[in-house]
Amino acid sequence: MNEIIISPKKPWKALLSELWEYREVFLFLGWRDILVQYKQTVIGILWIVIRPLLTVAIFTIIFSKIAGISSKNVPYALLVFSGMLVWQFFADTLVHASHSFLTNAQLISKTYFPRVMLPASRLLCSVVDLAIAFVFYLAISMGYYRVFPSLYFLLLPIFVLWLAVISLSLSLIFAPLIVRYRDFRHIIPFFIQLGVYCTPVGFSLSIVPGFLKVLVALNPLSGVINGFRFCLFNEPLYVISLIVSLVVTVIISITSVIYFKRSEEFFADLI
Amino acid sequence: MKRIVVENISKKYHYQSQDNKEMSFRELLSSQVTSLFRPAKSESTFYALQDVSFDVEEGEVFGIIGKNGSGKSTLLKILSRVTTPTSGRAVIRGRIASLLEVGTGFHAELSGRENIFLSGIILGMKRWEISQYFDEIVEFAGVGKFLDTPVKRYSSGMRLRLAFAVAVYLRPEVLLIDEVLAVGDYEFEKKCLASVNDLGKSGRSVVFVSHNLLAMKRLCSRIMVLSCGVQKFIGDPIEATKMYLGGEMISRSSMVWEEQGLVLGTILSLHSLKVAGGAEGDEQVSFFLDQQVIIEVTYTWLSLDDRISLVFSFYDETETLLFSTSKMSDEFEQGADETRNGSLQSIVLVVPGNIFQEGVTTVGMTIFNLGKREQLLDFDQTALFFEQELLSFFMKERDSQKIIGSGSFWRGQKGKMRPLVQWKA
Repeated sequence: MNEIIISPKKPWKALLSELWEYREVFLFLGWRDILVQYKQTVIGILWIVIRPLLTVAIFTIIFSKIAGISSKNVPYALLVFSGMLVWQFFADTLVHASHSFLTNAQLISKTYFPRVMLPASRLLCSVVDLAIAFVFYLAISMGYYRVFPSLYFLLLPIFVLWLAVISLSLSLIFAPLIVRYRDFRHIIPFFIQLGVYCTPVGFSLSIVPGFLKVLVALNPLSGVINGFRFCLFNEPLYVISLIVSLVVTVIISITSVIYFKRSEEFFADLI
Repeated sequence: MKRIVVENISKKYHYQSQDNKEMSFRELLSSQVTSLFRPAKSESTFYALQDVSFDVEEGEVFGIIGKNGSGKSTLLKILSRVTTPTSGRAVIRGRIASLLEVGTGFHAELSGRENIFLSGIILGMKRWEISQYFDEIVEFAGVGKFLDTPVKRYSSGMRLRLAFAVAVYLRPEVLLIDEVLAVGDYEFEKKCLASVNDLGKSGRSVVFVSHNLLAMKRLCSRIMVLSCGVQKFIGDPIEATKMYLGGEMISRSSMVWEEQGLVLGTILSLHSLKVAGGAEGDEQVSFFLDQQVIIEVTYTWLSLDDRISLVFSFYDETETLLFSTSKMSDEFEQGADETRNGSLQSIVLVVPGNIFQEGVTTVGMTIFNLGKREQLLDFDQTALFFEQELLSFFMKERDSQKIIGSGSFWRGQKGKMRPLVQWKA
């Protein structure tokens, strides 16, 4: 019979074994998110496609046609679309995951399961969204622009994993903040609105001059986007930027895990 | 085997962090800035729980009583791991399900069906195990028609029924129940209390918090009394309730059956029952020894010619019958045509003062069906209604200092009655 020990501080080891014990909760919540997304909304799947399409169209008109940003030898629409794949995954996960404790306050204040399951389970839905948008991307890329991914395409899951780590880490930092300070609910949309311009979604790292590349790389998503584009249409990998992004990711994720563990104990008291 | 072992659990809350609850980031920033220049306010703390230790055996129903704010809910929250203790340790052997305060641990967007599975999964069960108990849960909760409706559209009663059914029928080894039954109706409360009893018998452990002392006394094998976060007593339920009542009186002075009332066969429906001090007085729980106690029951007739017999019984703290009294409807009805038109009727029983002993007296009510008019009386008829512990009230001395000779102490025992006697020389 399993023995549950309740004490003021939970040891890391117990926390890890709990994650495994409660894996079904993760799957159930994730599966449920997917069902809601695709069953109840009338345009369901279509929505996943329309959103990037509109963004791509607007970006293309403003940045490529009006501002004249160069996309080198890749069609500008593909450049933006590939960036949007990453950005949308990130933004959707962050919005939903960081609000998950508020929307599920009842569940949190009445039952126990590792709290991280709520934001983490959102990743499942985001992965499905990404897959659908990705199929659509490939259709446009290969069908219309005749741009075919090379064998590097097989490396894509690594970058998806990286993306998931960043998205979850930031959610783990924002989620307790939202519980504690309600005005973070307004900060997040703002953060996302500005973020898209600080991330190489509408431009390529290749047009960024030398030292600025490193500055841009401090945003870990730029590494992921570089990776995506490398896999999809052979944009060169900027190794130094990549390493900077990777280091930032590691720092953020370690911080987030420690911060989250410290704050999750107080959720029920605050919510 | 001990299912729950609690060792010196304490929980400290900061006033400050309580205020933080709705504190906005702006306020936080400004308070941080001002604290740079002014010495920080000393943070006030209080203990919701202080060094609480107890254990619960396999198959035991363990009760916790205490006033509001005595730490009962905090203790159950800690045991169900919703919040963490500040110090101390507890070990629980087995799966824990809990019903904490008002409201239930459901995912509002999910349907009843999905929530049953979610609760099971959180309990650590496999899907096929949950399916096994699914029908029982649905039947007990009576939500069959609404299984695929999101729980947020359920009434609070339905939600509570479902939560209770889930907690009981998923058969956790440990069940924590916090004052949730008060929300349900009378029938449901009865059903729940019966299930709690069965759970104990089937080797599960229940930790039970309630203000319904009568039920607690009946169900629990031991009761802990909490006061301001400190445990005052653990042990015999009767002793515990006595000790608790010594501090403050909480009991049930009225019962109300909502809407069309509690329908008893085709004969009548009960609407309310209360203890009062004066004829048209408000309900009252506490009386001086020389005051009269009034029991009032309201009902409506559903049939035109059935007759009933109404019995009130009075019990003391040890559930010993003090006396009972009965009346047939023939005797208290004048003019059947006026009373049987569906209007609300009421019957009042007046018990004079100087009868009950100090302490808690509980009131039971029985209603017998005596058949139609012009039929022979048949006392073997089964009771339409029978409840031994419906209401309770509290008798107390009028003056704090006793007048020598009028008290009734004899070798430390108080006796069952407290008549006003006269001594003559």
